[in-house]
Amino acid sequence: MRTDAREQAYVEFVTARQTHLRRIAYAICGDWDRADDLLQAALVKLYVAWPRVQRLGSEDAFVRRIIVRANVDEHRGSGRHQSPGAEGHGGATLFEALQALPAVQRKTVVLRHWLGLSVEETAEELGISPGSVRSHASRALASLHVAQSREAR
Amino acid sequence: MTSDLRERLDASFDEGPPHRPVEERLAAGRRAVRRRRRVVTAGTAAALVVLAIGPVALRPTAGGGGGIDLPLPHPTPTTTAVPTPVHLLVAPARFVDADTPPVLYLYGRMFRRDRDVTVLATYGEIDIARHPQGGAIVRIGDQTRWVLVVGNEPERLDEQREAPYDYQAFMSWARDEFAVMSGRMALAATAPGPYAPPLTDDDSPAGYDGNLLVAKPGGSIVQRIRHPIADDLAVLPCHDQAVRVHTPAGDWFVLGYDCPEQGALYSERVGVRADTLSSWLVQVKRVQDEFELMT
Repeated sequence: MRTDAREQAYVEFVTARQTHLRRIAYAICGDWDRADDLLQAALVKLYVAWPRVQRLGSEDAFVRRIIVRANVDEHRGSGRHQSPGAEGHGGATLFEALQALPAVQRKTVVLRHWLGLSVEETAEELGISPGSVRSHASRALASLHVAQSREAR
Repeated sequence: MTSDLRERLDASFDEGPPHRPVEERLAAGRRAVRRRRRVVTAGTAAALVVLAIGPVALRPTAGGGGGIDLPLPHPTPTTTAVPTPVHLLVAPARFVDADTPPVLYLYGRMFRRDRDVTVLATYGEIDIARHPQGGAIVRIGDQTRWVLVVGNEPERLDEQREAPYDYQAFMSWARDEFAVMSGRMALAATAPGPYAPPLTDDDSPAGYDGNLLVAKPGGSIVQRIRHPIADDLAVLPCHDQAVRVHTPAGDWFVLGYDCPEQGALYSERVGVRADTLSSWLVQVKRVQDEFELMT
């Protein structure tokens, strides 16, 4: 693939998918600036590896896995999460409850229950066993349920 | 519950602030590539060098009737599509025999095998540590070939085939081949010691049983690491895994490099690059990170 064609394809992918991919990063880290940094780092790696990744049609998975496997809690501080921007429907509360989960549980919820990946796919993305995915998901959903119930009272 | 949760999660936050310009993302990608590239100059053998040059004007051969030509300045890239021969030095006779490929690497630079080889274009003079790589379109008699060479000795031919002179098509083919080399070819090319082509999947002491790497009869898996080097996605998101296999003839590391259906395994004897599976994977990842740049 020639460089101009390669870059055109890359730009088309980025333009089409960056909003979705940055939302994944935000759901995981809870900070738009950090989410944008995560996405940018992942897209740089994608650019470098573009021909191979595109040939396998795995562009989304490539970027998503880099984002998901980032050590997002490394830069997290208490009370630093930004407004999710969807308040008024209970969404902000759910998002805050999501952010309060341990990282692996949060990632499990994002992959399994938001993006709709299977248990096996989630395990693949996170590099853990399917049994661990089920365990983390169960604990995470219980925590989210408790948080939602508390909010409803 | 699940679909409801999905909808509520999706609605729990918006799309965020405006994105940075896509040109900025593109520029960052280009910078990442540039940071890891160094353009070779004549006679330079660097740690990692990628240089793609087009057909260039023929330069008079400086050498006499035999032996090695004197070094000449590196050809200047042009955009002409005319297949004007490229001057490459002729390899010393002691490195040439009947099986020597049309072009080869010696002392960190590309040579043509003999004066009967006319080099029409070169691509990617790449010097990776011990085993430089490059490609060329050559003419021998009335036959035109596309050639990729690996390593420092004549037998280190990677691949060649009969083909017409078509520079763009050659470039595309070469990039594809180098992309393949970012897998096991790259690993074979950078293995310490005498070069050996990568073991075929059939010859590997391990193979896929479904999505699981298992030992072939006579061998046994003594260690397995799943998703071994995926943190930085040097390995594509697939069923990558690495095993150490014990066989009566010795121990091997085997990396399930690509998806099982693509059948790409890389097998290397324990001790060639490392003595433990984890340290071997670190070395493997380093190579993969470098070779991604060639795709």
